[in-house]
Amino acid sequence: MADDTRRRFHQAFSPEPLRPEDIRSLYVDLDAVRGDQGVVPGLRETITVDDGPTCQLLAGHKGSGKSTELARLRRELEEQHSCFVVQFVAEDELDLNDVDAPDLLLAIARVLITHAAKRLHLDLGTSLLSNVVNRILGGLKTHLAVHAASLGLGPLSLSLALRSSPDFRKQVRQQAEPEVRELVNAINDLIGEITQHLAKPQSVYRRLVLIIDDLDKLSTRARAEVGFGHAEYLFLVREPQLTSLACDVIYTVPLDLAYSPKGQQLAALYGCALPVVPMVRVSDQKGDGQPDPVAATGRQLLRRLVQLRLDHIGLSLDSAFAPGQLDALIELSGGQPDVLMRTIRQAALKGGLPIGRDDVERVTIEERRGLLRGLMAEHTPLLEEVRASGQMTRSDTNERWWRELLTSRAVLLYMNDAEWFALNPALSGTALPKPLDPLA
Amino acid sequence: MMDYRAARSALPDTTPEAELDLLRRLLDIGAGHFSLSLAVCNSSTLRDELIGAIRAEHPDLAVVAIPPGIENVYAYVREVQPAAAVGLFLTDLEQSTRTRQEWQPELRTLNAARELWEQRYRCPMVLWVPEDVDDLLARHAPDLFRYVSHRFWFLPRPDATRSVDLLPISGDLPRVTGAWLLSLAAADERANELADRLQRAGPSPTPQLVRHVIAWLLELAELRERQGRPGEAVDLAQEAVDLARGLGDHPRDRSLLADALGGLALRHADTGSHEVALAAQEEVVAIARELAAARPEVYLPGLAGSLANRAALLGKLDRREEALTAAEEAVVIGRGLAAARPASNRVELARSLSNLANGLHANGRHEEALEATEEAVGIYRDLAGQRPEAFRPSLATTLSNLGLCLRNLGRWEEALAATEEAVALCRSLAAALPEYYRPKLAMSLNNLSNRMGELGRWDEGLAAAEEAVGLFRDLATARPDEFRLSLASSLNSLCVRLRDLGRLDEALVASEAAVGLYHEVAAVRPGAFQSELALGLDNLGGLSSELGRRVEALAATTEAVAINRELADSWPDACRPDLARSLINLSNRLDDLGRREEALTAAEEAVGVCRDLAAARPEAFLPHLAKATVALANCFDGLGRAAEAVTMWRQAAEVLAPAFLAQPIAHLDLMAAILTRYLEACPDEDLHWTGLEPVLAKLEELGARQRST
Repeated sequence: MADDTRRRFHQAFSPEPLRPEDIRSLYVDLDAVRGDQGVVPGLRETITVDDGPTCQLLAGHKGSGKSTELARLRRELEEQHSCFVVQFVAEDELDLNDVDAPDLLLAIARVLITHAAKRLHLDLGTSLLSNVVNRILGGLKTHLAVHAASLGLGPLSLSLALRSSPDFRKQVRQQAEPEVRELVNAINDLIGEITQHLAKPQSVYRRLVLIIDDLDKLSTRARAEVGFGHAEYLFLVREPQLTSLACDVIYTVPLDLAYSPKGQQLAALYGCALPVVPMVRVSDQKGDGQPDPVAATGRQLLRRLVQLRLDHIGLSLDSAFAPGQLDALIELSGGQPDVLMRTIRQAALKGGLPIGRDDVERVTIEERRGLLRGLMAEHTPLLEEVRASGQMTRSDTNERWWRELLTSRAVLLYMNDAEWFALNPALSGTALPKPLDPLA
Repeated sequence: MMDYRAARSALPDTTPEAELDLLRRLLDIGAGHFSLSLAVCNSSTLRDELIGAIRAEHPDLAVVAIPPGIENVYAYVREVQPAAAVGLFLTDLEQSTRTRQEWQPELRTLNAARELWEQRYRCPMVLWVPEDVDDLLARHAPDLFRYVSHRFWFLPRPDATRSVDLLPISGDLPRVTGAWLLSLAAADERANELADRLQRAGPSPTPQLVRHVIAWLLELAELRERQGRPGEAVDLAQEAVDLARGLGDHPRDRSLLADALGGLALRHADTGSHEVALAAQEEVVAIARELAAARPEVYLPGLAGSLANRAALLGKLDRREEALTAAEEAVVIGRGLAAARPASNRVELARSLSNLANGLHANGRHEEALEATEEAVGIYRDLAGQRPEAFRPSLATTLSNLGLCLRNLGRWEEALAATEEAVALCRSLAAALPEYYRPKLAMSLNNLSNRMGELGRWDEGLAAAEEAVGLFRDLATARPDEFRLSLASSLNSLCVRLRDLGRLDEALVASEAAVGLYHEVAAVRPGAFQSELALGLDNLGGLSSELGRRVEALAATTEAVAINRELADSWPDACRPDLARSLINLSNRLDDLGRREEALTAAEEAVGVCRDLAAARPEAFLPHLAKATVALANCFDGLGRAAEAVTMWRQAAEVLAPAFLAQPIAHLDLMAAILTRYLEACPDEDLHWTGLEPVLAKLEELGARQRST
């Protein structure tokens, strides 16, 4: 395989979510095979039928296609509903191992200012925000204040500085806490200015929508000071701040939080149903032993997804995959589009094109190893239950393990009329870690 | 982390030429894939030569020099070099890193943006750095450091010594002001900006804009108030309320209506229209209750705040018990919130505690008021320690209140200390923002004058009172509705200080002015501020009497007694001390006019009231009881009942003795007057009581001190 072909193939099968500009050429609508049709229409309708600001959540497995669905939503809102959509990936702005409301709010301010300047050529007045930031920085312990002063930290750079230093972040948070309300007001002032700009007759946009992606990747580690997880803290305790922005906002939330006992509380607090982007069904086994008629369509759509990318680089299916190997990789993916892309890339890197049986086997082994490295004996009873019944019973004692299995994607969530779980196909037929003996 | 020094010392000797070959090879095979390498080179001349040689072979090689002062290296490089095909070399990072000792923003942002580099640049990236920056990278950009896949050494000698030039770090901190502490110029600028936005929004803003318009109207109303345009402020707040009433029943819209009504209440209160303000605030509380019932976790803080404001407005209207009830409810909610999230809610709790203390004080529950105020001071002191600019104003106010609470319990020295601290804080605040903090300074000076007077420090007390009157006079000229009452109170304090120093004519002028202002305020708001008016009348009566204007003196004092009797009927705990004071004065005025039986009746009533008060709080009310007893003694003496008069003088001296021995200067005049009359009437030493000796000794000591000075 020529270097150039290899390079283009490598680029085409990036596991990253589609960019809005690629939606038209590379997007495949998977709603029908996810079992929960209309995630994007639901989010869109909520925004467009309500005059006031809305706040919505979207959950899903990592790699289930949330970001791609959000890119599609963004495109629809911009093109069909005159919305000015500001979308940002939380991981670019925040340290997802440790996020609190002040950091998130400052990141939002930074992104709004940047997008308004770049896309609307609107220089937002930041006097209120600067006042709040100055008060926060003014209260820092001397050494940090000296650093901040020497840096000339303003609203724009503070957010980035917070991302990079836990110590600085801790200090700033302490100072920012009593200012959170003022911070929200200052951001709402920015939002107000953008909204007024959009109301001009010559503006092609009418409404501001803020999409904050990747918060579903928040650390599941417990926050020392509160004793529960970062995501739980941010979305439940900090809900008043998250919902007080004066524009339409969509946050992604971790799937394990949405499916935790706090899920109902979450839905109640945000006043909305909690849409979930489930995995694409590609396996005939849906846990109840019955063949799944939708799975064939799922496999077909994922093949289409691969085909589009191959078309994009001028390759045919036959030249890229030996017979049966794409199906094997689709099966291995368990319906996770990002895993499918990643494993195709890996297989091609090792053995070149077309991807053969050995390549697929090697990738399968690597996937399995990766998943097994994260498993502990305590996970086994749940995995056995999933394997046997397609269900995963949650209790006070297994809550942690339950969440970890979903987070690690050792167990995948699917949806028919009801929700059900399946082992990640990479674990099929594998000996699981031996359960611990009960204590005498 | 890799021990880079050990690793380096273990490297085989390398030559720049050999390393250059390796770097060339990386560029040949690495295009299309991101990788991060370090080229360690201490000489910029050598570095430039090497890069020039590579560039001759790879003309598309991108080389970006990082200018000094760039914090976000990624953003800068992305701007000047959005893409790179063959390779990307970054140089001169050391120009920034060497200007800072510990905090390395460029390295930290480099670290933070590590994934962004990979996403944007699909080619080898080489950071050309000297050895010391290589060290800094390990410390400040650990994640990036771990990304490094190759390291090329271009060092003449591996063990060359390092020398880092450090520039001094500026010790100047940015000046910090709160959003509510905008300078007048900044407030004007912001007001213009908001007025412009409102004009562009027009009278019927779009559905997406209407909520923003409401927020802008409320903010502009506040700024107009600060600019001394209160009427306009009320109109703007009313406009916000009208728009908010047009919104739906969604909780967010009800909450916005509550905000607008709360703003309207504040604007009305600023203009002295407390009844109208209270009506709006009642609606706020009703909405806040409705919202908090549905979602307590979100709306309870709002309910606590709205109750605290309601309590404050009820207090302004002298509806003391209702104010106290509202303040108590706010504190109960505030405590729960502060326990759950102290960082966010302690401020609100402190504010609620201060309101509660006001309510308790107004209802005569002084110990509890002190307790609440001490708790509030503790919170504000803690917060001000962390963020002086944000919380020193509240600390100053609360300290001033603490002084008053301590004084009410007879803890004079502590009261003075708290008030002095408050004045010092206000003075520094007013120096920075005079237009905003002069009222607070004037108020604290007035309180200081009173605390000084209570300890017999007359001259210092007078100086403070004069300064307070001067400040309030200016303020009342500009904003009479807001500051007329404060000016009257400060004139009252001035009058007392002048009288203490024997400057009676000047004191009378001040007193008449004060009473005139109180009458003006009372005419506007009948029923309000009666307690202040009664005090002014009492002072006026006393001064008139001392200046021989006995009829005028009796008229003023009779009016004061009538007012205080009515107040004491309604609020006995709070107002009986004032009634006792007025009754003593009335007895004296009647005695001056020879109406001795009536004087005796008034004095007996005064003694009865004071005895009850002193039984409950001896440290605070024994001096009052002494004064009432002296009035009674004078009446007996005037009526020719000498023995009863002697007994009363002796009782008065005994009652006053503990307070006199503790604070001799404060009670010197009264004790001297009592003993003079007692010893004249009863020269027989056998009739002296044992407690008299230390009192006489103290008087002798004070006399000796006075003679020596």
